[in-house]
Amino acid sequence: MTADARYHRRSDWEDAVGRRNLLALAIVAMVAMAACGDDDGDTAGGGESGGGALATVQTAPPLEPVVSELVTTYNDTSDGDVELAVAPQDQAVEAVSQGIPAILPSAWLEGVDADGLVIGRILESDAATEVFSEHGYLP
Amino acid sequence: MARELPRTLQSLSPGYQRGLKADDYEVIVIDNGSPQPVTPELVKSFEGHLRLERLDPAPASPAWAANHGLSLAEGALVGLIVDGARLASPGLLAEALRAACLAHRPVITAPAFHLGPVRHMQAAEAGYDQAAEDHLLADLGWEDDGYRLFEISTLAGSWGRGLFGPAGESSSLFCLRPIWDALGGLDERFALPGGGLVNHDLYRRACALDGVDLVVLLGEGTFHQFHGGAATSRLHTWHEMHADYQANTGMAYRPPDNQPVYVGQVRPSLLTLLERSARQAINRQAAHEK
Repeated sequence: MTADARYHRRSDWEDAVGRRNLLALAIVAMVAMAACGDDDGDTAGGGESGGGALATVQTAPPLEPVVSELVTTYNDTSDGDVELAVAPQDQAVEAVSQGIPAILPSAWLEGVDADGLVIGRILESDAATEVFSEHGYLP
Repeated sequence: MARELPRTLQSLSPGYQRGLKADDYEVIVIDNGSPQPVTPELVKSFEGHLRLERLDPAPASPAWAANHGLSLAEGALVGLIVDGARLASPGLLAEALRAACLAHRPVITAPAFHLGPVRHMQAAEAGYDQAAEDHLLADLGWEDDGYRLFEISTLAGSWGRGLFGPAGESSSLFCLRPIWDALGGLDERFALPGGGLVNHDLYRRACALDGVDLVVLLGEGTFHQFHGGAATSRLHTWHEMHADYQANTGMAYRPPDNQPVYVGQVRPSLLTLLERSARQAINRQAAHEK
């Protein structure tokens, strides 16, 4: 059946009419623990990510502006949903040691056992390259 | 929720909702063990049909409460809002009703927004709090024209790909009873406080049902009031919630890729967002074609 055909069929809606009300709205209310979702790892800069994070990229405050722009650009131009987490240097490095992807100065990571990490996803994006180039991080 | 729920109910009242009468719908509020219970006075002050049930003690996850609310609903079309802090746009209910007539098995949602200039996960960094929100709402006159809420709101993370991209979850999900029956409501195995990704799971499962048509109410929405809920206050990280999702479902979460039918009236306050959303969609398309 085509979608168009479906629109012209008698619907479940029409079958169901006859109940007391046309519409019922159930709301779950709770103070501290309401699942006020909308989360989706949506800390990527500019509010452009969403839909279930593919990865969280860790960075530190000095790099946040450029990495935020990178993440936003990546999310805008791909199917990836990348969220950005910003943490102090020691926490960001600790996250890397636990296998969390990060964009950090390599000098910070000298003490991290890279061989013990599983880093298997490379996010390709021409736009990302452009962002880094514009900010002088790439030649 | 003593601060947020009265506004939420006002936005669902017959005096605010347009295009349908008080007798056309009922609102069911499940108080999931709020430390400060929803008061009977609030129920009495509601102009239309409102039922209140309180769970106490209540599980940390809202799944059971939501399913209880769904079981109580007598309407042919049943909507679910998991969080009593979401204001509704004035045409949300009437447009959902209209959308229900457009397809044989419609799954209907509206975009979700956060009140204020930033998403509520970033509220603290931006200096946005309940007092700022109160001022924002007091100056807006939203009670007379709820579409003005678009002017002061930010698209929620679950809609971060814009209005024309796949959404991660539905903050206002409307389905006909047979579809709710097929879904079995929310999956109560999601036991994290706040439910984790239980609402994402519901939306994904709804969109994956055979023969459904996803209908997005363009021009309507829900608007989250800042209150420090489990997800927006980052009680759990995305990784923790996603790990819970994977444990419960055996798969990684991906947003549904249904191609929606868009329904609704677009008001001027939404045009900028539409433009930005279209640009996002164009960029995605261009990336696909590379």
